[in-house]
Amino acid sequence: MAEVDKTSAKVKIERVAGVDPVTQISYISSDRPGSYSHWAPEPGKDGFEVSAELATAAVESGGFRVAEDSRVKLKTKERG
Amino acid sequence: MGTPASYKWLIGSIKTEGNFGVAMATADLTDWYKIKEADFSAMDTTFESDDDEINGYVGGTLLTVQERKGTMARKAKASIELITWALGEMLGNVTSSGSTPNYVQTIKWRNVCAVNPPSFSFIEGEDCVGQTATNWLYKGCVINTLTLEFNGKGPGALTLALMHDGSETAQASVVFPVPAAAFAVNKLFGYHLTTKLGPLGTEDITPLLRTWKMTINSGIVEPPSMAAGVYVAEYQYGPKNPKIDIEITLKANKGHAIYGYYQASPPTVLKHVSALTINTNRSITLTQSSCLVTATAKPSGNEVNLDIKIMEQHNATDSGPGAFVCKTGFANLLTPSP
Repeated sequence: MAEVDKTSAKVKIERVAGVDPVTQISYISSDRPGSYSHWAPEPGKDGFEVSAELATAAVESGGFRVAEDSRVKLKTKERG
Repeated sequence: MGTPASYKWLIGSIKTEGNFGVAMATADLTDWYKIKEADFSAMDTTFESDDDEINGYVGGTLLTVQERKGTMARKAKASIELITWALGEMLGNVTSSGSTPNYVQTIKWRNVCAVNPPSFSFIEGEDCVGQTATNWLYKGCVINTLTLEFNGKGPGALTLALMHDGSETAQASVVFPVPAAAFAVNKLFGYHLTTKLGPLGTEDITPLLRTWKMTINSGIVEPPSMAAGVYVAEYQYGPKNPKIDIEITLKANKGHAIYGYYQASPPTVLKHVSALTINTNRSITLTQSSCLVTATAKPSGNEVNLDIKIMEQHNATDSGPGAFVCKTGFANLLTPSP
């Protein structure tokens, strides 16, 4: 998969059905390097277009997945 | 006159500073948690003296304020709400989920890219007639250490060591909650604790527990800064911090399986799960999926005890040396204010 420009590319994510709805996520963004930013997804809404940084944190939370029709995909984390 | 007994402090349980040292909105600082002592915030001022310069005569020494910073302590009876707030403010890595009124905060170790812990503001003062000049707002506050201790069935003791950026802002118009309006908490007692420790993490040692203590240390450091002004510009996590230490005293001797896990060569890798449970919707659970222990036998009255120390091991399951799942009434934590 192609590398994504983490600052500008928007990733489409959607809530995973059957999982307790996530109400807030902490993540590190390039807007505030070194510090946490916090994102509270709108309650009741299932689809969001977000930065790759936020999408990564959202997917890692288990409450979201990248939507199939998302133009930008996340690079799978490789574990050594 | 104000009195130590009239001391109150106000935080925002689910709020944090959007940027370090930018005060939270006072409208968000409304939660008064009862504490045991009037630990007034202390100011630490570094003065620069010219007494190391030869000025040709023995004259008056010139002292210049070089830097101001501050510390304070908080000692409280343990509650799910205050512990969850403190864990969120210390570790910063929080995922909130669930729905009203039963929300869940999963709090993991700081992201490796996180340099700065979250910071918050609070107001303290003596809530007596005519004492509004004792009301001050402190900002740029971070939690350096958290200690939670249980001894027998009694209430848990929570101790926090905090640091602030050294500024004090008068808050004469703040109105403290009336005595009956302290923040409603679920207090934790020794009998709320269950501990499992063993190769599977299902080996229940709760009936043998005598004491249980957890210490989390952020190792806060203040990097040298030339930012304008005399106040602290930034606090950072110390390298390789935060660290977690668990110390347990157990009614057991060298014949206990846990001593064998320590004795084994190599020592047996264990899983530790400690849960503080009021009910199914109000609890805090610490899981350390991988850890080693040390065990020391000692006499205690008419019985033999094992002092057990749990040594943290970072692991992929917990994304760190442990992970907390806090079931609270908080919809979120760390929402930026203002």
